[in-house]
Amino acid sequence: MSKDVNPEVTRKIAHLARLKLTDSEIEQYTQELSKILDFVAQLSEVNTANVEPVIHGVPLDPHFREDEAILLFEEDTKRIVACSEQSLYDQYKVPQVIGGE
Amino acid sequence: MKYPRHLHKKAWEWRAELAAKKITAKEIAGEYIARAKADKTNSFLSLMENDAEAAAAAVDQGKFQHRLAGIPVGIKDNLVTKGVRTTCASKILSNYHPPYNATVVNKLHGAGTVPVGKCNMDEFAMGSSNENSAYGPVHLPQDPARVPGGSSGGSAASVAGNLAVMALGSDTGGSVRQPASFCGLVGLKPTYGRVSRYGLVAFASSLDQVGTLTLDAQDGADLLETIAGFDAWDSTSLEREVPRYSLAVEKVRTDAAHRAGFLKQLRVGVPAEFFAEGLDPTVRKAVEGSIEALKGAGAKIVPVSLPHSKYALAVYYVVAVSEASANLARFDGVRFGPRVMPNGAQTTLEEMYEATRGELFGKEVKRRILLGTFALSSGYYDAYYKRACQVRNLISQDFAKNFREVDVILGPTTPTVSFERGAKTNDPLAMYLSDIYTVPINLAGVPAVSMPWGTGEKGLPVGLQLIGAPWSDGKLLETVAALEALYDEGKGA
Repeated sequence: MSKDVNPEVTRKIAHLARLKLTDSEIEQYTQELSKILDFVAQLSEVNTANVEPVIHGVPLDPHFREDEAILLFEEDTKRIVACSEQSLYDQYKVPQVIGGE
Repeated sequence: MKYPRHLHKKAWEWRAELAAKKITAKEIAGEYIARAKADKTNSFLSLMENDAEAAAAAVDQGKFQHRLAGIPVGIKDNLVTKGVRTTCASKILSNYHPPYNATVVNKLHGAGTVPVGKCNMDEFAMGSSNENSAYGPVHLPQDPARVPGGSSGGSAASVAGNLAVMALGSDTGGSVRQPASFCGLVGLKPTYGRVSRYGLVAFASSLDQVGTLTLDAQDGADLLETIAGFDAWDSTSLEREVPRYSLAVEKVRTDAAHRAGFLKQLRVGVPAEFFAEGLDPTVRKAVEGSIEALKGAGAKIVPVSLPHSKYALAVYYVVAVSEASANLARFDGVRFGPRVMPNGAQTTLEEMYEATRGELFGKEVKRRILLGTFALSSGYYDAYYKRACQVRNLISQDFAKNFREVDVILGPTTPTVSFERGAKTNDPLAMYLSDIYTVPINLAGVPAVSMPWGTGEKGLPVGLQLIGAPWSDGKLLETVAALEALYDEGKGA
């Protein structure tokens, strides 16, 4: 079993990923992640000296648009904000973030 | 089910009937919608009856001249559709009605295709059996106890079950090709950058590509030609002309002399690594049959080697999950989907994030987010993510070297035919192994297609995978068309 994962590590990464997990989920994921990481460990057999890491398979020539503001009509804004369960004045409403009284 | 290829009417057959005014687009739409409504395979998450009727009416009024005008299509539910519920088969998007269309969806509308509905899938395209849908699994049309493959399981089952003539899926590690293989269809994962990803809900951005599920190569060529092309809204879409795939494939399909010449010039690589331990003997036998058929037609068969492909699955389960953990961070209950507020009005923002994500993401999605967060976390990044990106380079180089010598690389799409539901749900690794021959392709960014060739266990379809150099998507479909003809001439398994 991979030494890199234990229930404490799983709890920590669950928090980093903002996932609320039950104790039994922590237990189960710890075991499953260990198994998967054991499988991934075969990568250490490969000689990667002087091999460039790549983030794409084929060479890309990414193109970028000019960073221009586009005019959005009020109904567009409404349609976008309407995807949220809670909104107010065409803005997303979230629980209070800045401390109360 | 002995015959692996479906006899449902293809788009080019409907096109001829429409042109001869033997039937109207409205009548065709009516047939497919009626079957989709009575569907027992759970292929669709939402039907688009109104849009379908409107599109068909416009086609009958002569507003579209496109080759696919009037053809009923299925759309995977991770492609956003304006005003039409788009769930990614997740509870976290159960009420999401996107304010815009994916580029490929706009292209389908622009061609006058008739949208039947949004296809079921594994949640966020994570899975190989369609058992990870929050809205229930999809059944294999040929045998309801078995899986249609995944993650584009609903797209594939809808075409195999004759509920749509063709469908769009997405392929991150085999999600178009593996279900195509299980359902007996032609499934193409195009070259990375060929088709716009704008409006495809991202799973692993460096691997995701929209793909096609069709009854044959001709329909695949028509559909690819319709959706391919540069898109300023996808920074990884490439500026390259879209060839007339449809005409090139039509020539191979209809001109026997041209086809014979095509096959004689074809150089086919066969990698030993794809025929190693773990391959079901019936699948092996069928695939070997295709090699014999190609040899008989004069193609040159070349043994090739992909020595790093055996590491592809390990690389994939670092790279894909790392990208997924970042891409899925946007689902937090604020902008889309329902919210979970465990302490009512007293719930803090952080508690809302954690509870919403913890409760509304499914098991496999959480597993992958955790794994990706781990691989990218401080202290493990070099050992996992960086190393995986280095091995990814070696996998890409293996392909590049071989494509100097051969036109296509041939092997099985999956190690087995469709399996029974529940067979692998308790063992994530066993499920992942189902994609062992398909993930190297996504890592390398090259195109690949699965086509039905013969049958395996229980008479179920076997998928033959053909892999090409970047931008050889057309050549792959021409090869499929040539093989289809060989199969029909009795040169099959």
